Amino acid sequence: MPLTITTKEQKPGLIEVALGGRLDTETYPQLEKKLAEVFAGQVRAVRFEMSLLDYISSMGIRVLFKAFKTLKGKKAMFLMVNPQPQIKKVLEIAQALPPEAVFASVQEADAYFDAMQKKALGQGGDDV
Amino acid sequence: MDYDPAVISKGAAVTGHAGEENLDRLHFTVPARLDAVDGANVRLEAFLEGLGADGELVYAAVLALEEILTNVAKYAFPEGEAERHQISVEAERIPGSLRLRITDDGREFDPLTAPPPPLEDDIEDRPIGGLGVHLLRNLADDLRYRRSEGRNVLTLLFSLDPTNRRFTCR
Repeated sequence: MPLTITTKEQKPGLIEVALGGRLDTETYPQLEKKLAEVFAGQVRAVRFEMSLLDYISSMGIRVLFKAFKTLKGKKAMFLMVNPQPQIKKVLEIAQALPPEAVFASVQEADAYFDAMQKKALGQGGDDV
Repeated sequence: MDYDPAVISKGAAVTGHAGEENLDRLHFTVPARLDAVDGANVRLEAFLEGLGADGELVYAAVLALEEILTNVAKYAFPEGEAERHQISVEAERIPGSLRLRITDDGREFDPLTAPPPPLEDDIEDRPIGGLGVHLLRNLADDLRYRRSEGRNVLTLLFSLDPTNRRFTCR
């Protein structure tokens, strides 16, 4: 089964990457390539929408972990929403992502993004 | 030459070649290549769905197969040699379990004694195949390895009972 990837700038700097199908030994290079494009731009957060992703294996987990590290290095946010139960379970086993990166819904992830943006703007210029 | 159709069909059932599959058993071989992994996954998945296996079991078994085949294709042979080798995959329903047995003739590698990856380290820096092996140990209910006649034989058991298995999303 193939991997589908759709990207969309949901808000300025917040890119949604929606995955579908399988992220495995065969398909992970496609995500790597797409993420390289995303990271080349101005990105404040990447929200991985996982509801249509049915399957992930260790090569796919590696790509997500590398994305997490890249975003951290850019002081940008890694947000994950709606992983299917078996995907969530495998990610937990791998301990590839911190639990706080996974949100129960898009609304929660967006609220977090907005709060962090406000915080970042609030710190600009003034003494804290 | 005369062929006795009864003899031919019995022979096919015994050897497990494609076209005459025992309903409870699947056996095929794949070359040790990364681009053959997907095809193997698809075959196992179809077999398990035919057995009426639940989603958790299908996922655990197919993922385990992928991790093992990927490891063999990447690490079991010297550079450039892997694709000349075949990996044998057998899946069989036995009482209470699905048994998955994978046999390859690569260099000796026992996932049970390979040191577990230090999970706090960078996933990228983990030892060869570390994450795949770690997943394997948490997917199957029983995992046995033996080295026999120059082959690695890995046998995994997956409980058919959803209330009694290691990999559960509950």
